[in-house]
Amino acid sequence: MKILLVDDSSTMRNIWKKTLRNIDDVEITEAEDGVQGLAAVDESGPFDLILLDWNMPNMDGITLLKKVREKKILTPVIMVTTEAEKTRIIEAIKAGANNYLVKPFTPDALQSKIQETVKKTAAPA
Amino acid sequence: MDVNYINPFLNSIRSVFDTMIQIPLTIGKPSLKKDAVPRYDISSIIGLSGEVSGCVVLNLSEALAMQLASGLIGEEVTEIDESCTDAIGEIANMIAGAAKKDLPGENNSISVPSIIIGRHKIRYPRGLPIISIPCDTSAGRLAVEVALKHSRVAATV
Repeated sequence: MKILLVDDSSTMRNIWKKTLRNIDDVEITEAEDGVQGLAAVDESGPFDLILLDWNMPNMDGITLLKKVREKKILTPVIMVTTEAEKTRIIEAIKAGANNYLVKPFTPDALQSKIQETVKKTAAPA
Repeated sequence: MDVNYINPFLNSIRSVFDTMIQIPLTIGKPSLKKDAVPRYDISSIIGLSGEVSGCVVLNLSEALAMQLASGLIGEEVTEIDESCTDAIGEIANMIAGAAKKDLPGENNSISVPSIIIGRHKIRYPRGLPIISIPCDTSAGRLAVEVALKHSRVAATV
């Protein structure tokens, strides 16, 4: 499973990586902002899942998400962010996010969001 | 400053520590700070803009910064390196972000955190009261300082 992690905080990416250790055959690519994230999508994709922060320098997560969807790339995206207002959640869902997790979160919450998203977006056999 | 600007931070500090750092924390009584000199050597600063604007500062000692970074990362941090300062920035980001949702207005934004290490002063936005929220942990004390104001939002026609 190829997963792209986009967050300007290396701490947060490390926390995500610890949770993802439980998944078999996982291949992780990291990006520090939306610009790097978009380059990774273009150069290293397709990914099976993207974990995406909102507030980042250079290009924020919502802009990256819109650009990815403009390219007709349907990779499941989970926004993992401190942005907890209803208006922001709606904005992200409208932009094409498949799921949303508000920081702070427990490892279990992240794990179940990932499972839920992968299950929900899996192509029917 | 309106108590409605402080309560969200009391809740967000508690939430971040309980959920992601897991170091017991006691929150003291918030008080008006009379100077701009931080008590401890590390500050992580986050700006807020929108209907509510100003800044939030997480201020702590180097020793406590290493302890909190260790708690958040889940590995022992023994120096003030990039991973330690990144972790402190992320803690400040989560405290400010989680509080933001309970502040007036739905379109407030927070900046990415800046970190200052060493003896320093902070130039808070002029004329704003600075409310200091003292916190005690088993590994030392920290302060979350909040200087916010309600901004007049121009009506759209």
